[in-house]
Amino acid sequence: MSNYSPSTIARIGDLNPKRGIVCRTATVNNTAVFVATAVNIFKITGKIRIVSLDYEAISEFGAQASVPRWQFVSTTPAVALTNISAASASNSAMALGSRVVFQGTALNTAPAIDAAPGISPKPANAMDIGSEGGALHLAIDADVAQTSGTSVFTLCYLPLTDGAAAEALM
Amino acid sequence: MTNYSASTIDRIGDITRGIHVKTSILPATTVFDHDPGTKVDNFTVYGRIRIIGLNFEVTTALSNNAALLKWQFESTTPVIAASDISAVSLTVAQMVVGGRIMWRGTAVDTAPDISATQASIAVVQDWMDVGLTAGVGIVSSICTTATCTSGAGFFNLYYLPISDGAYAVAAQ
Repeated sequence: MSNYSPSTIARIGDLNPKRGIVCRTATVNNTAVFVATAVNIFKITGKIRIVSLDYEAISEFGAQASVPRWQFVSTTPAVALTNISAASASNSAMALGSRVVFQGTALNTAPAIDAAPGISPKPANAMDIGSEGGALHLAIDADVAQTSGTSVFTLCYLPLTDGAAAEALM
Repeated sequence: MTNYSASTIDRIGDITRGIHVKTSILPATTVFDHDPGTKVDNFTVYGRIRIIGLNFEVTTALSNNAALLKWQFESTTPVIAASDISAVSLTVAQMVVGGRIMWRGTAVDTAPDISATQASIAVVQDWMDVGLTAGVGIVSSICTTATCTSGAGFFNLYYLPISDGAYAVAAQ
């Protein structure tokens, strides 16, 4: 059994297709990301496979009935804002440690909210997004704004085209 | 066909099936004690990890007692009460050396498999994330229904880190 350094543990994660490369945001204020319009969270270059995509409550959410859904807007080529999930159930007062996990099954599949904080079963499917040589943003639209709380967004992905990559925008 | 050294084979295993940590060999009287049925800490989790595999492997045949086992996760920093990450297994009575209780991962109420021999016929395909970003938690097991009077074994965890700097160590 190995005693790896943290950087080696991270590289092992990068190489495993059940995780892929991790792209995370910093801890962000909910007031900045969960609003009534789409907010760009990640920038995607080329085409990637989303292995998992979620956000975690770093502190408890406000008591507003936000129902976030994931969307993409392609800038190259230009493609209008498109849903890649249905709206989740309400995130009102979501407890610290809870995660909302993109399921990937269909463009109208709702994300799943952890039944218990800090325990997230595998999403049902992966989803490929983007195009050869293209660029897009993964965005979230909460419909109802949050007034408090903080979150971290985590994207685990595999590159599918030459030079494909993801970048957190915050 | 390449002729890899043992250490290279180990590294390939870590990359393809997740990083492996295991407990010391524990007496069945500790792991499979349903009265009072207190949790047995298996692994301490720092940050958020992705569990690729989790099982208990028998090193000394278990006694003929119909004990059942399930796994839980609890966050100790911040404090969040324990929740099941599996249902209870079928009986572990008379499990032979090399037999395994295999967590399935599909859902928090999915029962682990019992392999009656060293051959596990259904390799786990699902995974589950546990732990909080920058938190600390424990993967533990709990025995119900009966207590084993003899036998021994150890727990294996195969994982990938998700949050920055995440890792897991054996709790005993």
